[in-house]
Amino acid sequence: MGFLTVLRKMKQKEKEMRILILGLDNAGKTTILKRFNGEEIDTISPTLGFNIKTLEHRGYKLNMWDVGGQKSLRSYWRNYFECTDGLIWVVDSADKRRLEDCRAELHVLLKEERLAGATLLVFANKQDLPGACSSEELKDILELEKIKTHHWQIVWCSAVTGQNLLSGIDWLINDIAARIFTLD
Amino acid sequence: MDFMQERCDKITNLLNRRELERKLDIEKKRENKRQGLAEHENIDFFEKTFTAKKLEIENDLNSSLTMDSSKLANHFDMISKNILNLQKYVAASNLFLRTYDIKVCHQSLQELSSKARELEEKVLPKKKFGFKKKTMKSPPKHEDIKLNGHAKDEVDFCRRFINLNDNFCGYENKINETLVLENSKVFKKDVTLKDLECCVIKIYGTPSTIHMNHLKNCLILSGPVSTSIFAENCTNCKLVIACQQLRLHSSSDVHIYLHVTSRAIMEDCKRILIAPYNYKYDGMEDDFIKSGLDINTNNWTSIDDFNWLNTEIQSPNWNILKEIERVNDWNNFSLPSG
Ligand SMILES: Nc1nc2c(ncn2[C@@H]2O[C@H](COP(=O)(O)OP(=O)(O)O)[C@@H](O)[C@H]2O)c(=O)[nH]1
Ligand SMILES: [Mg+2]
Repeated sequence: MGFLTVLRKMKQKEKEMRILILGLDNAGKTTILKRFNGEEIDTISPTLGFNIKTLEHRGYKLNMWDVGGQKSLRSYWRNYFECTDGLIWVVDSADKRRLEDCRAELHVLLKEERLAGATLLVFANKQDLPGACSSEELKDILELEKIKTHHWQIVWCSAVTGQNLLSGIDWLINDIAARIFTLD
Repeated sequence: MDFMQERCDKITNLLNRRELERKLDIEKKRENKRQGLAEHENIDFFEKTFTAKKLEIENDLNSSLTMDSSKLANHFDMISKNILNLQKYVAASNLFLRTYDIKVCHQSLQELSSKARELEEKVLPKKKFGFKKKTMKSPPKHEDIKLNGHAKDEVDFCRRFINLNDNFCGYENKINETLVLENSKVFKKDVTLKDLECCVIKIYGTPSTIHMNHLKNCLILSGPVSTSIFAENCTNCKLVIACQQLRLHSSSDVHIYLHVTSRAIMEDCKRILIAPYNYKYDGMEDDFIKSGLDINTNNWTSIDDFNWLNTEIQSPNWNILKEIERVNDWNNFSLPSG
């Protein structure tokens, strides 16, 4: 193998990103993943265990991990922290009843040492529902301003209509790329 | 003559067709058998591979105790990569694995990860100062990203007041009432039913989603819900519901007359009985179309109990409601008093 091929291979390898999708159950994590991947979303079942998808996007290889959010599964989240470049935290913006729970889980997660440095994208999902909190309100309720340990951003979206998913993912990729692939 | 010839042709045709059908049938049965076998082989193969890989990692972990300390950093790098690969392998096999296998694998993986972490901390205490090949790729450590001079998030973990009443659709805090939500009120809405006792709630039309919490002795009748129904803390209720997903938590003694187009799950539930959806009202078919739910797809028996790992034995937490015990006419049904 020539030197250039080796270099190219290395680069290809480096263009891989590991992205973890977490959030409370029913937030829309699996729907976001499948919608982003252009798959059918009507048949999605509640996630038992996890889904993994490898997607090509803008020349990056994204390894996306979607882990079930039920209480009995949350203890397994830890299994997936290693080598995470980006964290997508999905919120059901209309489920005000559980925002408190959502905020607590998020901040516990961010304390996790093995996630240190991972870029955080908060998706304010289900914006198609009347009565959904705006991303500004959520920023407040979830106390995002207090996060100093991670680069973060909140982006509104609807996985059902597909609105704004791309701009969220693009922000995430740009932030990770700027951090990791500095030699490009 | 012509007539005879025609009859003859007809009979030959018929016989030929029968023969073809018979062959197709045999072929189909054979194919089914083959598939069943393949599935079985898949699982066998998976189990063997998984166990072998797991053993390999365990051996690597053990050998770290006696290893030359200069090699340890690389050694643990390799181990964490192997664990990651094993995770990927499980994920890729998700399709044909049974729920039980997946749970078992999760548990094994978790044990491996935590053992690796423990050992690494024990035998490699000064990891931070070791040389790593891939310094570019590893994310910045805590210390490197003190934005605004703070190393830790300053979050007070006290509860905050969240205003629930904007755009509220549904009912809360009611006792002994019969209430109806009409089509135009619920269309594409997020409906809340909360803290209700001895109430009958009828929902016509197509909400986007319904959340139920703390319902006691209630009857809920609903038209098709486009996305999910999320119910928790319901006791002694009857739910007659149609939805894309049902998520039932911490509930007991609930009878569910269900139409679900994907699947239902339950967690921390007891004595749940399931029957097929049998609510009928004028315009129901139209509502199904509006909601996007397929009226002909009902997986009411597809229920995953997150507290029950075994797939061979039926979960003791739910069962099918016997036909003779089912309510057939909801219009003339009244809640048992008391
Ligand atoms: N209205 C609405 N419903 C959504 C949206 N995203 C997901 N859902 C629904 O929410 C339910 C839960 O979604 P799912 O992806 O399974 O959630 P998960 O547990 O986070 O993976 C499903 O019934 C989805 O159809 C959205 O943007 N808007
Ligand atoms: Mg899911």
